[in-house]
Amino acid sequence: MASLPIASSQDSKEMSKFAFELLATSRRARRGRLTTPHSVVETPVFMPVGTQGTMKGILPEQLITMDCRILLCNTYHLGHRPGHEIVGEAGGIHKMMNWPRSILTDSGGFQMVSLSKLMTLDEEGVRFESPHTKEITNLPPEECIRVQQNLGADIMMQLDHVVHTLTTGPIVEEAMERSIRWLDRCEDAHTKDEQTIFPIVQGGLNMELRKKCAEEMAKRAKVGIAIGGLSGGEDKSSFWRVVAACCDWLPPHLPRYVMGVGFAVDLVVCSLLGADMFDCVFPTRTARFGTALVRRGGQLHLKQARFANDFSPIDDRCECHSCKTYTRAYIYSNIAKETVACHIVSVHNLHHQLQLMKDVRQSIVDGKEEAFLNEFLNEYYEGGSVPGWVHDAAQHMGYTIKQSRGEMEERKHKAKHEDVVELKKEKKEVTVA
Amino acid sequence: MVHFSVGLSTQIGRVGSISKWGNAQLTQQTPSFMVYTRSGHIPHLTWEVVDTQLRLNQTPIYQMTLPSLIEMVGQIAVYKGDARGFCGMPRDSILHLSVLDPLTDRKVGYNDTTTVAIWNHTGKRSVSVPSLIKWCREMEVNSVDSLLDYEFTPETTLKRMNKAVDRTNQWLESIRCQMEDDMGVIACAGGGHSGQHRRKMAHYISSLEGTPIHSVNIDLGGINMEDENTSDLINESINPLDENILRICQGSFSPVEISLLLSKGIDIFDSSWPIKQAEKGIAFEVSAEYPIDSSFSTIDFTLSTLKSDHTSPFPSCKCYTCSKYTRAYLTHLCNTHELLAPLLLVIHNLTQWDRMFQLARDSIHKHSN
Repeated sequence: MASLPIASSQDSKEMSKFAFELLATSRRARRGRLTTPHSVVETPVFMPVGTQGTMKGILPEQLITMDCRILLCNTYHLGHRPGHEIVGEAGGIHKMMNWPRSILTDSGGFQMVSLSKLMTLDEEGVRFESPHTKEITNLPPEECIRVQQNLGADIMMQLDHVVHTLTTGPIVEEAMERSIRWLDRCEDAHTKDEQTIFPIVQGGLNMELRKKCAEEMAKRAKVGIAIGGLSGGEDKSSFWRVVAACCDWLPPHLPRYVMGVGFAVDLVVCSLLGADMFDCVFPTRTARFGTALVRRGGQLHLKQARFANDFSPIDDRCECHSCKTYTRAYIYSNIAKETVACHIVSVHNLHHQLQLMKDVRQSIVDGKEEAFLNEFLNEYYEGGSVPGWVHDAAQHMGYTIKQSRGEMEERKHKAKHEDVVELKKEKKEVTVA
Repeated sequence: MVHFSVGLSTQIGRVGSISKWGNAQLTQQTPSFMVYTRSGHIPHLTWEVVDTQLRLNQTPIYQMTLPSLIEMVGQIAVYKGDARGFCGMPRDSILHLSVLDPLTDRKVGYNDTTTVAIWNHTGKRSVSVPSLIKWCREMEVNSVDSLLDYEFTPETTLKRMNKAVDRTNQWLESIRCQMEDDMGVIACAGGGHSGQHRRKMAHYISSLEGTPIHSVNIDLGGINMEDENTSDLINESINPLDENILRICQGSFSPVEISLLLSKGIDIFDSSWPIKQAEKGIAFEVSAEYPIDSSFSTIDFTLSTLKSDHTSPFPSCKCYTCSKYTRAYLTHLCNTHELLAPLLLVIHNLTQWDRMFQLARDSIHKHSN
């Protein structure tokens, strides 16, 4: 691995406010601790997404009760409403939303894919047409950092050139090379040492490009680094192989953030592969459609009539406020009628993700990830077969999975399909709102 | 059974105290309000949020609204426990069952000899005396409204209005006979815009033999609070009643309307008005001189006028929302239709509603000296 560049005085000031410590490792998996100016984050960590600077009807105090340490907010959305100048005047996003712990803001780059019809791009930067006002916004890397500095998150993401995961051809390499140049421009524009920038490793599903990008980005990374361009509809086999390869190439002192990962099985596998940070809107978005996340079987669709007289909690082993207070029957009766039903399921789903990561961390500390993986898969797939890609990833890491290998990945395909349907709905909301 | 005694009566209003509500012990000073609920919760607030962030001056009586619960009564009957348990409410919550939802419009023409029509998302549902009694037992509420035939409009014939009075009176008699003694049955005194029918209903209540009536729900449906003769109409309902009867007025009334009703000697209201405002994106604050000065200020967060105002919604308010958030943030939440907007506004508006009644009680005490 290439040596780190000599840190400037500004860099060392910035870096003195952040730290990443590896507390334990077991095979590839890492139990770490990331310190930011606002909190200590235990890794591997799942970061809930509060798109508009709020967690879908959950109070910050409730997130603290669940011991959530870090949130993600979306730069693109906050940049439009209320506007980054207003957030800056308010004293930053932490103060505005009453969240005292860490925040990560994305670069707005992902919207290049999700709002691609409203976007054009060249070396200078990205241009968006606002779906709200039709106004044209220029987003060169410098502006991206200026906006994120106004928002004031602990961790900012570089502006990268995002191409759809399944894109092939020279554009993938061009986008990767451009992302490196844009990182340098982002760093040049970066002036606040209480904030850091994570570079993003791109390169699509091409391992050569990924390797080159990982090396270049790692040279420039100060506190942490992200693996981007995944979770965009690629097959699971490519997904885990890219994560595994990037984790192998990246130096151990940088926490590795795999963007857009939120399904339980992905979180577990990626953590064992050596990834440290994850984010996804899935737990709160799916809650609004009445879906609760559970260890046994993965999901419960609480709108189904079979829950009308089911007086058990969502999960009888769960310690969240919702499971201690409400029954499936009550949620069934209120979903899509009262906002409270969303809040009840969101509290549970967030707690579920945070608890899952807590269990992952403990298994790494105890060196018992193999037993944990088997126990997890046995529950998640309810004793049935486990998808081939999970078997392959486990084998790659040297773990034995006791359950049989599934020829068909039915459950995953189904979940994926529902997710895509929901994502479409979400996009519509963005466009129409 | 409701135990209530009147303390002071003044021009502004009267203060009193409740010591028992149905089969529950309760200490509550009046004037006060029942906390409006829908589907067994304060709209937009989970019980976790109520427990950790909502501070009210007195132990509340929760107003359970039958239209929002009627689809759940079958489940509550099968569930091993009462409505509190099913809805996740605190175990010792005191519950009043309101047959009508103060935030739902009434449609006339659907009440018949044995049932009252109520409305929810599924459409029309009919409530009879036996079903109401059954549901009260299954939900284990502490008090309930007797049924009211609310068929009073300017177009309603005299014959139909007389019939409404007779039915309402018969239903009250029937509920009183069949309901357990420790259930707080709140007699309904309606009559809409017709003074003579209001008087008839109230007279009937005061003439009842056996266990005396302890509390009356004075129904103001069909009355425009701004009309000149409103005060006289309310008097028609109140004058025949013994002074020590607790007077309840359920409905969505503004602070100005509440001050008028206080001066008429109404003791208990509900909190549907502040909820309705919160759902519209509006926060309010009453004057420190309430109810002498019944004016109130509002902020409409759906307008963008305060989008750069980084001050507290109401700097003197001590509620969670006003202590932790700004006008700019609430404007942002309303503009993006975020679920947190009505949640934070309900916390503020309920805190403010609670303060308004504290001011009213203090003011009555002060002006009696």
